[in-house]
Amino acid sequence: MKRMKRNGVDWKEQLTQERRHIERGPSLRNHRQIDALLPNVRPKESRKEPLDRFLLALHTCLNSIPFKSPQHPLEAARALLQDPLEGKLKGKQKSDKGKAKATSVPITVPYPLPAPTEDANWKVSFKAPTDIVLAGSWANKVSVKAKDGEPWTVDIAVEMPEDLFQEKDYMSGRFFHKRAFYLATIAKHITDSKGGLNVDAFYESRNGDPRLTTLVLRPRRDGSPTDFSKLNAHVRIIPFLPPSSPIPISRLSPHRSNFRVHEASGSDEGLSENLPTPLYNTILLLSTTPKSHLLSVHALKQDIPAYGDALALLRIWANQRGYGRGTRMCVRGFEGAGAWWGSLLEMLVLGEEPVGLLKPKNKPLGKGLSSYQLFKAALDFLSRHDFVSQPVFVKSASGHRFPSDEYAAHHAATFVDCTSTVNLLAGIPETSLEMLRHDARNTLENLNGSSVSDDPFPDVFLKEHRDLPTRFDAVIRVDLASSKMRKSSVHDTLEHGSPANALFASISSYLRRALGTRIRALAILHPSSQPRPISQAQPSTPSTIYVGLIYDSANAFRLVDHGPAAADAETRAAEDFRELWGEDKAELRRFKDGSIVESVVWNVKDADERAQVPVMVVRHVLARHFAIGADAVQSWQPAYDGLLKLPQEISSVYLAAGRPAGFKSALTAFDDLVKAIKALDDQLPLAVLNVSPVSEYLRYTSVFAPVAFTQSTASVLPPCARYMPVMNTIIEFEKSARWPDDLRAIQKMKLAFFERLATALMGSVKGLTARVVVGDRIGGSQIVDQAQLEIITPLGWVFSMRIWHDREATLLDRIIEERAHLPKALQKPEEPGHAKEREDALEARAVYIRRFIHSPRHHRAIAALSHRFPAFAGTVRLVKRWLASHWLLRSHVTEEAVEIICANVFLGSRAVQEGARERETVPGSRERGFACVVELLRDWQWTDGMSVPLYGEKEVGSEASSAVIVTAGTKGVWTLSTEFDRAGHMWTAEGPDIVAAHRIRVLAKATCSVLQGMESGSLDVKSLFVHPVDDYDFVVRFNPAVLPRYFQNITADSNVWSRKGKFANPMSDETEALRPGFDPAQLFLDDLKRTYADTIKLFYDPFGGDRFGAVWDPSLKQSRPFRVLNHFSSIPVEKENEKAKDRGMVVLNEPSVLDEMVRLGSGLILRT
Amino acid sequence: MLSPSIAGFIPLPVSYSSTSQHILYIRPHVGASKKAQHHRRVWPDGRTLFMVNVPPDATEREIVLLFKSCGTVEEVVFDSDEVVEGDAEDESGSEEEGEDGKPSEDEHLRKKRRLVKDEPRPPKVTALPIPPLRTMRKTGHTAHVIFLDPSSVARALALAKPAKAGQAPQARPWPISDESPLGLEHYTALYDSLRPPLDAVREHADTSIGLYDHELAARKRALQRGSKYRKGEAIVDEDGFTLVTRGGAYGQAVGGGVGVASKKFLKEHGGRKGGNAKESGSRRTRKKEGKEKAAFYAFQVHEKKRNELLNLKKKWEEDKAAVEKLKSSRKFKPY
Repeated sequence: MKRMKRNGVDWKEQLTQERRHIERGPSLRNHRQIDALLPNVRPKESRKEPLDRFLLALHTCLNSIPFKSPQHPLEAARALLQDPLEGKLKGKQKSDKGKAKATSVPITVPYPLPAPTEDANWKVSFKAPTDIVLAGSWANKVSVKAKDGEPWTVDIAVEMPEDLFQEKDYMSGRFFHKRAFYLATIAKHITDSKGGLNVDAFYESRNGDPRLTTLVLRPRRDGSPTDFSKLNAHVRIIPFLPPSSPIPISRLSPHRSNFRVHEASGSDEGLSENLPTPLYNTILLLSTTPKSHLLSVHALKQDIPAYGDALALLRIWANQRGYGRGTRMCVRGFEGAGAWWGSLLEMLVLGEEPVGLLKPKNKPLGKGLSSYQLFKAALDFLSRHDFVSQPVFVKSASGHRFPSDEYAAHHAATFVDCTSTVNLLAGIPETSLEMLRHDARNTLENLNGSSVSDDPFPDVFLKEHRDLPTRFDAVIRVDLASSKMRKSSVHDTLEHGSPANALFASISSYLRRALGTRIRALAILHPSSQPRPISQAQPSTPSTIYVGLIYDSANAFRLVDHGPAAADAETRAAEDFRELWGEDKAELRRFKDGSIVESVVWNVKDADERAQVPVMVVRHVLARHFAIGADAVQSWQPAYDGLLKLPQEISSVYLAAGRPAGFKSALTAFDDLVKAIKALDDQLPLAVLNVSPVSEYLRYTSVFAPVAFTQSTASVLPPCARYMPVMNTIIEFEKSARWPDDLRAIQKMKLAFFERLATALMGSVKGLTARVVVGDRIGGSQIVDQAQLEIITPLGWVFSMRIWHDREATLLDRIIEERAHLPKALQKPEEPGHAKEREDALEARAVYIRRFIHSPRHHRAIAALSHRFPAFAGTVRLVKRWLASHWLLRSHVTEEAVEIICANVFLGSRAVQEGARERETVPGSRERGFACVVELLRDWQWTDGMSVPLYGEKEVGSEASSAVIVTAGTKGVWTLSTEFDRAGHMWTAEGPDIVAAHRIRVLAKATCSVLQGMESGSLDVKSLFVHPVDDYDFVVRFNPAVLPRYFQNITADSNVWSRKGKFANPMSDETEALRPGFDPAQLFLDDLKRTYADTIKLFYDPFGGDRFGAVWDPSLKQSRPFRVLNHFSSIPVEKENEKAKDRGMVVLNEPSVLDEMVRLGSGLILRT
Repeated sequence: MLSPSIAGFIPLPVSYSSTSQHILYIRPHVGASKKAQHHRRVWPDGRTLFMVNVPPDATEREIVLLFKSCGTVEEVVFDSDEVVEGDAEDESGSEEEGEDGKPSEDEHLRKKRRLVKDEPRPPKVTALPIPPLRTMRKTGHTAHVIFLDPSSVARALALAKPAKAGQAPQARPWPISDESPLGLEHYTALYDSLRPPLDAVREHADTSIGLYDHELAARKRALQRGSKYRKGEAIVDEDGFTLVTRGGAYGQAVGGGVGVASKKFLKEHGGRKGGNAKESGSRRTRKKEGKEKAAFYAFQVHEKKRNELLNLKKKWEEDKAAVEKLKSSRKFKPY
């Protein structure tokens, strides 16, 4: 008790207070981050002042616009257009303002379709607005900065006087014509030099819909008090209808038909008269809402403290994903959808208006939620809700205005606002909403799934997600110039406001139907509409669009699309099916289960083509329904495929010789071999327990698919294409006490085993060749595992086998730990060579652990991933190719490290529970996987390491703790930890070192920016794989004709092998023995690396690179004192001062080293 | 101009091509007096030349050719084949040459020793057929050249003397021996030589194992000579059963027979090896640990609470600092 008192009461109080403060949970960090984030997306108060002055001026200006008496719409338009120049036109509206100055631009009235005709019996006129309100987000101070430096939007709603309208104005776009004239008149007045406003006026039509045209005012930079250009904002003038207008709201309910098609062909006319015009009606109704929306948002802000912040978060999130305005690719339909985001939150908090007797499914949230919680709730709703099947009605004060089932019948997706008049989702394609749902799921997954260590915040709010290559599995660029709808109807055009909008809507719905379950989401993307000069009546439409697909990998690549059964061939479903695919594509087929159904079959030759089926579907649909030819549709996938294929000339030789190739046949060959070995049991001294594959060729992740060929094929091939891939395997014999207990003897025993196995195999399998490989090089450690058995199967597959003998580990440990536990003083003076032996043992143990413990396990995990994710193997192959072509693979980054990094993109940083759905973010195509990995390499802070749940095991327990850390050297800066390798240097011990790691990041950055070229259509995939060589101190060329792997070079020159074919003596070629896996360039470079380890850093492409580059160790360029063991080739420096020092200074002898290299590589290196 | 001597060495230029010269540093060998140890190879005084910065691909033949004009070379020893790098590290250039390691030909030394002591002759290992291929050594390595005649050393040193005072010494061309190929040919030959015929492999393996068996037997004999115990040797009776006895102090049956470790041994040493032994070994101590109560006294409870709070607070501060850091790096600007 005393203790407590001494500590004092204030301490305790402070304690509880702090505790309350701190214990707000793990999301606290998020709240702090949000607090830091929000000021960056809000306008600066200090710059608002000129704007306020301008708005005042605008107000007076608008009020001062004089009355214009009614006149014929076309005449009025002509008057406005020609007014400034010749003021003599008959019937011209007399204005009391002098328009002498020719500076004012001609103004067109942006009449939407159908344009008024000469025989129109109604008139347009102008009268100063009855009310002018500051509306929208700016007025409520909830605006959020737009992407791409787009200006802030300040909405000014002007109320058009009700006596300008008549009851029948809802018909045939008459209201919109009057509105357009109203706008044009305002534009005229404002641009008029005497109006005194220092702004430029533009028209802007949201979503390219001329009915939604607004007048945009941009400040001129003239430094006057009303110049608000510093704020980077523009003012948008939106005319709206007063509630008391004569237009009856009831005529605008979704099922009403409000225009007659006049010019349509005879047969269409009768039909279209009755067709409802829901979109048209909605857009008209939008003219009634600005004021009520303003008020409702204001009330919400008062009511819900976090409303403003939550809305800001939601909009940042949406902007980062292209649901909004921007000059880069944005998802179609979401520009100017500000009200929708606000209403979404409103719905969440206030609840839904009940439909019929049913109670709404979602309970309203509490009003006291924090902004972050509200944001999360909104995402949760978006990720689960299907607006198509479940219309949403925001709680409304007055109940439903229109019957709720009408929406379901006439609108695709429904979200009716709080005034119960407008469907805010009208005009937004269904596919865009699916995309939104997909993105919401992604983010939610990220928010819920991330562990404490990695923070989801930057990914959710700070990172831009609009990059096409990382976002979509397939990106298709469509040039619309030649498009022509097969079934265009005047009604659709009028309903959507413009031919382009009708086209987009139609493309989106056809593609959605055709792709069906192949995709999770589809998006039509183009930059959002930009303001246009007021001399241009109709909005300009994008000439190219992008279609982004997100595959559902389970179904994406199926070869047959089934339609309705033959039994109901005459039904509407069958007709629709044939209409969709075309008579020549859809056909009746009989399937194995006996059913006869309408179906569409996609013919593919190989796996690469199969991966293109979704794109083929898109191409087919575009060609059939929109007359968009193959040359107008661009996709990048084939270019990527080409990177992983051999040159045509070489692969045709394989094909002609009928050589088996590909991963599947390699695996079959492996299984056959295992069977053959197991059958030999009685001929071997010990039974074979296991043969496990450890080769990338046997786990689908090698850059090139494995091939098999024999002597006869080899003689046809040029010498620069004779590389035979060797597949590594590990053989395990049953345990026996008869193995010698000495490391050197064990290695010899392995030789004896292999000799026996080779003889037995050659005896039992006809045509098989087996050779014992005694080591990798001459003179190496005696105790490290080195013997291999090389087996060439009769078909020509090459396997290499090593023996795993677990006694080796014990013996090595014994050497290493022999005296480690004794204090140094007690240790006997070291025996000669003991240190060397220990060092050898350390190295041998590292090799042993990597080769026999981790390698097979890694192989199994990666093979499993390749099965689980169809795009995984392709991704790894592309990334390997990329790293190789930039001279980093193998010399700096091991293949296994690449595989682990790629696995990270697919698995995330957290193990997925068994049976859980695959993550939404998993790439469905190798191109996207590649882009994601490159992006990861660009953004990854390797000092933080990376943890990959490769093995999918929760707790590995004792095994993990006993795992030995690679001690051979920790040059590598990458830490890739897995469940079995907590330290994370198993595959990165030898590199990349800090230089290479930086280089990778730079290359990844450059590659990412080149990938952006997709958005302009200028991306050349191959250019991503061309390596710049400017940064090397020297680059040496090989003679490509002698490199057995040259044909794998990314820029392989076919002259090299065709020339050889002509002049080389075929006889000499034939006698040459097959040398599987022989790659002299690799051997040479390995030697160089060992020899000049302290002098240079080497970079080269293992796949037939015909050059290698190197940089000198910069520290060697300075002179240093001579030492016996300098470990570099030196030359004495001349002394400036004889007396200065006795010790000779030396410096690196560059020319001699270069000459030495040329000598060592004679025959390989091209003399220059 | 090259200085006549550098840290006791005389630079001897050899030319690779018309544009580049490689520098060898040579010096007569001085006896390793200070750190001389019995096991180290002793170089014959007076007729040994110490060379530094030997080209990485140099063969004995090439060095012989280089010094042809100076006299007959008895032997060339590349130190990197023998020197243990870790040991040689501390040695500085002028003091002593680097041959700290032990001779790697310990095999033949051991053989010699055995020959003297032992009766049964060891089987001879049939070597794998390996053609004379170059060994690539680390750049800047060293070598000892032993001449037949002491005067050759002086003549070799004279090679580095300039013809005229004040002039650069004449660079001698580096001889390239045709005996062992270079470059592509070298790698092809190497590839083939690593895949010897199967019977050669068998013979090599069989004889190597034979040698091992022989050595094992010899070692055992040597042990048995020194002591009366038959340590580690299994006693097998005529029925083929192995006798298992309770072992001595170290778990090994000194008197012969395969041993079972004593309880005491297991208890004492079991803990150090592996995880499972720990459980059996420290059961008693673990029981004791469990009994102690963490929250018996009030002050313990308070302290625990306070620590928790401190931790929370610390984390909070860390978060704050992290956010501040991010803020200062302008990371919160989304676009």
